[in-house]
Amino acid sequence: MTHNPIIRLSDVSLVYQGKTILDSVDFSLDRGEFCYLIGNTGSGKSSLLKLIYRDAIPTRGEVYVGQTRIDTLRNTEIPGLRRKLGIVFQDFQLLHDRNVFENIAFALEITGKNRKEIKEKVLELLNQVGLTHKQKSKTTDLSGGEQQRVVIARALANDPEILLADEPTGNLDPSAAESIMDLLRQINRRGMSVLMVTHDHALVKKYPFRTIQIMDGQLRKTPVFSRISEGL
Amino acid sequence: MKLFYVIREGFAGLFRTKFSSFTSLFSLFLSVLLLSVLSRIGYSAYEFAQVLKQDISVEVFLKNINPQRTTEFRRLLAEEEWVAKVEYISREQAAERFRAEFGEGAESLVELNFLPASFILQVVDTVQLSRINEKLSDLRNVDLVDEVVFNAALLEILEERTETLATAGLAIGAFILLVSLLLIYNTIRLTIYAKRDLIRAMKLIGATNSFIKGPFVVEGFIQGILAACLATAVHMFIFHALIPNQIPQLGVLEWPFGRWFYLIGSLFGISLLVGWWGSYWASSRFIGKTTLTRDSLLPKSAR
Repeated sequence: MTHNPIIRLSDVSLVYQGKTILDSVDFSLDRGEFCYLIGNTGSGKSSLLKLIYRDAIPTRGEVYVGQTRIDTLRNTEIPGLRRKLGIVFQDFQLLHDRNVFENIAFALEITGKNRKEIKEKVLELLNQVGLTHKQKSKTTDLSGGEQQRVVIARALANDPEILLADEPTGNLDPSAAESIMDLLRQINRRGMSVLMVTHDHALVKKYPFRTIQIMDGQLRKTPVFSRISEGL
Repeated sequence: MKLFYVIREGFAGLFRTKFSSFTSLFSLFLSVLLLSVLSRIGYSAYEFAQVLKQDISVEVFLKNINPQRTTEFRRLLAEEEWVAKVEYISREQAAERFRAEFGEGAESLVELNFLPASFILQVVDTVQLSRINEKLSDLRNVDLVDEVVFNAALLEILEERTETLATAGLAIGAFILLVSLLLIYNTIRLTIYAKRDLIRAMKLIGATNSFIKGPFVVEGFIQGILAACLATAVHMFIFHALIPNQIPQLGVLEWPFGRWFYLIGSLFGISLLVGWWGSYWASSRFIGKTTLTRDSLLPKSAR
């Protein structure tokens, strides 16, 4: 068990429309930790992330982000929770009627920052994800890997404590996927906790971190990845 | 900055989803235009009915009485709350009128000097027919009065028609308003649905529902202003160019209550209110229901 958790799920079960998705799950993620959630399609790994960003409510158990119990949050408190989280999905969820700069800037608008602060922050983020030269490009003109970088930059805009990534390399070719993994690893090295759902075992093997396997709604620890990689 | 963002996005939203913006703008424009045309025609019809009503007078024929009593009776009549104006027609004036009406052939009859003196009473136009009838039966019992003549049937028809017109106008107006509200609600809902990716992305970064709603409400408000401006322009064209040109006998129809700003002000008020309320209503319902992911596991009660 970890000691300084930023995410903690305690005896969590999730039943949706009569189907048990997660069953008595205990999980925690340390501050600054990188952790994979792996498992077959429908095993419940994305559902576990949904519990953390409150797109699902547990049927039983408790979910904490930092010191805040989030399964009992009121709807009006959820935006505050999501500002603490950077969320990255497989489908990029970019706004194609705006350019790269605007896609990142709009995440900062909600915080009430002024234009100068927004510009500085967006340029800093673009530099971090290596897309400074593409700031005026349309998102539709970007490759899949570049689009995912924009999504990551947007997710980082409000300096979240945790990055939740649901299959972030799922739509990318192997080299783009590796460049995204390099970026996530860099972000993690700066101290941000990263919880990543994936079924790309090659990546997990190449970038080894603590790996949790979900099978039939239950967690199985896999401390040494190489042992379980062939089994999935 | 947040306010600036909401306003800027509200304007930008109009152009980002041009077709749906145009649809809701057009339906709002048509609704307020119809309402304004209906109001102006309805008011003119009402005014016309009032003018006709003023022409219906009560004739009170008098017995042969001395001038002193006549003057006293005139004073009493003028004090009645249902009487707007009292005109005295002496026997001589009555003969004069008769002569003017029937020409030279009437001379022999006039010489008979049979025409009585009378009062012509103009009735206050807001007084109901039942009240006038009540008063006239009182008047018939006065010993000075020989006969009271009043075209109650015409006034009755006028009152009935005015009432029917007012009821029908109100019902049609309410119906147009209701249909336009539903139409606008629906088109705005479609506009918002077309922007579900934006809503999801905003929820993803932790925007509150009211912040997400802001630009949609501003957009609805702008649509309200634009629809009102367009409706005013078309209204002016219809009533100040088209009708006077094509139906010159109608001329320029009267503005309700004699001033342009009552109708145009109401038109702007209704348009802004419907634009704002429609977008507020639609965005409140839809934004709340939009979840972060398409396969959200949130129970409906928690959305």
